[in-house]
Amino acid sequence: MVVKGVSGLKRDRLVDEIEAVYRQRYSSFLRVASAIAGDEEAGRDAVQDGFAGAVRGRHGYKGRGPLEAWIWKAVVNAARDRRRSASDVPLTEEPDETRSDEPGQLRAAIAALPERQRLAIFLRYFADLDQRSIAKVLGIRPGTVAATLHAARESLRKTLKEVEAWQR
Amino acid sequence: MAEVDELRTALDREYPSYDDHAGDWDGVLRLVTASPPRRSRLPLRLAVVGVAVVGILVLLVAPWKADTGIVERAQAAVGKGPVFHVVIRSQSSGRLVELATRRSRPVYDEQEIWWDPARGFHLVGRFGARRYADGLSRSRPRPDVPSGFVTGYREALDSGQAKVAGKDVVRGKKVTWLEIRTGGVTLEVAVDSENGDPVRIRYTPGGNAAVAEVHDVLRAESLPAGAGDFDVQPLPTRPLPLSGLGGSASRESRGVGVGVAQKILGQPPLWLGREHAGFPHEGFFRTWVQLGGRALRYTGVVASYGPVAVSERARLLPILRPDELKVWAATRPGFVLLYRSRFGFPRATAGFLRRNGLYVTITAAKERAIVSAARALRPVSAGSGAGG
Repeated sequence: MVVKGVSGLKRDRLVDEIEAVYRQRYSSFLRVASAIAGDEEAGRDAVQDGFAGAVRGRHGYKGRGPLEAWIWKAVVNAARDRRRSASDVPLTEEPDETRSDEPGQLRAAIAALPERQRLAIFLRYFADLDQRSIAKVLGIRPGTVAATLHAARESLRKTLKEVEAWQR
Repeated sequence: MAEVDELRTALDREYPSYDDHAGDWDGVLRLVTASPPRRSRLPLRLAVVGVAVVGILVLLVAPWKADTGIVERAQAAVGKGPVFHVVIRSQSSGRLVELATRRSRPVYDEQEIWWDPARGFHLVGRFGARRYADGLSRSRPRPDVPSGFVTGYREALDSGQAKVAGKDVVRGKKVTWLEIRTGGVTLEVAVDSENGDPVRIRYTPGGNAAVAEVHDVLRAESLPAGAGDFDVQPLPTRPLPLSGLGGSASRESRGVGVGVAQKILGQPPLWLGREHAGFPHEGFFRTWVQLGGRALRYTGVVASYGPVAVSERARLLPILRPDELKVWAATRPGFVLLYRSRFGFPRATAGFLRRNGLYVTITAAKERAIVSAARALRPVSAGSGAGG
C-alpha cells in the first residue's frame, strides 16, 4: 500500500523501515557523520542528506544485506562529501602545533590514518557495526575489514601510549 | 581486550556522543520532496544524457539562455514575505581551548538579521554563540555585506538585476553565482543550482580579492507580516564609545615593579612565574594610551618572557579595534580563545581570556606556547620574587 504523507512523499514499507532506522539509530549516525565530516553541524547535515538520498534511492536497495548497512553507506558518503567541501573553509580542525603533544593527538592520529582505516574505526566503535556490515558500507570483503581494523588499532595504540605518558 | 577497551575509552573522551539527539525526520522528508524522487537509475541516466544534449544545444545556439530558471528558483527559495530573515556565517573563526584538558572546539562568527522595510534592520552578531552586537536601524542600511544582501537580494531577483556570473561548487553543492549590483555595490551570491537556496555571498571592494568578504548563508527565508525579532537586548559585554579623537597605545620600554603594576590594574598582576618555557621574567611594562593629545593614561601592563608576552588590562579601551568586542564576548571561564583577526588585530594568532576580571591577551610565536602560557597564568603573590 502506498500512502501520500504530509510531506507529499509517497510512503511505502521501505520508507517506514528507513524511518525506523533513523529514529532508533540517529545518535550513532550523527556521531559517525560528525567524526567524518569534522564537526557536528556538518555531521548533522550529512545524516539528513544521507537519509534523504536513501529515501530517494530506496528502490535501488535490492535486499542484499541489512538495510541499515545500505543506509550507512549513503550517510558515510554524504559525510565524506561534507568533509571535502569544507576544505575551502578555514575550519579549525586542521592539525596544528597546539595539538602535537596533547590529548587531542588521538584525534590527529585518527585524522592521519588512511581513510579506510579511519572509517572502519568510526563504524566499529561509534556505530557498533559488525565486520560484515562494515564490509558492506566500505565495499570491501569482511576479511579485509579485520585486517584494516587491526592496522588502525596498531597505529592508534602507539599514540595512546604516548598520550598516557603525557598525561602523567 | 583491555587495549581495545582502552581505545574505546579514549575515543569516547575525544569524540562527543549524541545520545540526547533525536534528529529531524520531517527535515529528511522535506529534503526528499525538495527534489524529485529517483525511481530507477536507467531513466535517470537517460534523462541526464538528454539534459546534457539539450544543454549543449542550448549553449551553442543561445548561450544567454543557459541558466534560464535559476533566478526563478532563487526567488522561490527565499519567498516573497514582507520580512526577510537571514543567518550568515563569516569565514573568520577561532578556537576555544579548554585549559584543563587542552581540548578545543571551533567558534564561528554568525550574524542573524531581520529586515522589514516597515520596522527596520535588526542585526544580532554572535561569536561562539555569544552576542557581541545587537542593533536596530530604522532606515535602510548601507548596501554592503551583509546588509546589501539582506535588503537588496530579493529586489534584485525581482527586478532582473541579478545576472548569472558562472558555475562553481561551494560547500559540496553545485551552485550558480549571481552578480547583483545594488546601491552602487556589487555583490555575488552563490545559489544552489538545484533548489535556488543562497549558499554563499561575496563582496569584493574595488575588485581586490585580498579584502573580499565571504559569508556562508545558513538561513534565508521570508516571514509573514509582523513576524521576526525586532527587539534589541542589552549586550553582556557593553560596547565602549569609539573615540572620535583618534589616539595611540603603546608599551614602555622600561620595566616597573609589582607595586606599580598593581596600582594600574587595581589588583596583583598576572604572570607566569619567575621563568617560563626557559625564559626569565623580564619585568612588567606599562602600556599607555593617548587620546587626541590628551594626557597620557596608563591602562595596563605586559609581563614579558622572551617571545611570550602577557598583556593585561582592567578595562576595555575606547580605542576598540575591529573584532575586539566580539573576541571578548566569546571568552569564557576556563578557556582561552585562539583567534587571528583579518583586520590585523593582533597581527598573528593570539590567545584571549578573562581572569580575575582582567582582560588578558597572550602573544607567542606558536599557538602551543599560547595555550601553555594560559595554563600557567597566575597572580603574583607575596614573596614570589617578582620584585618591586
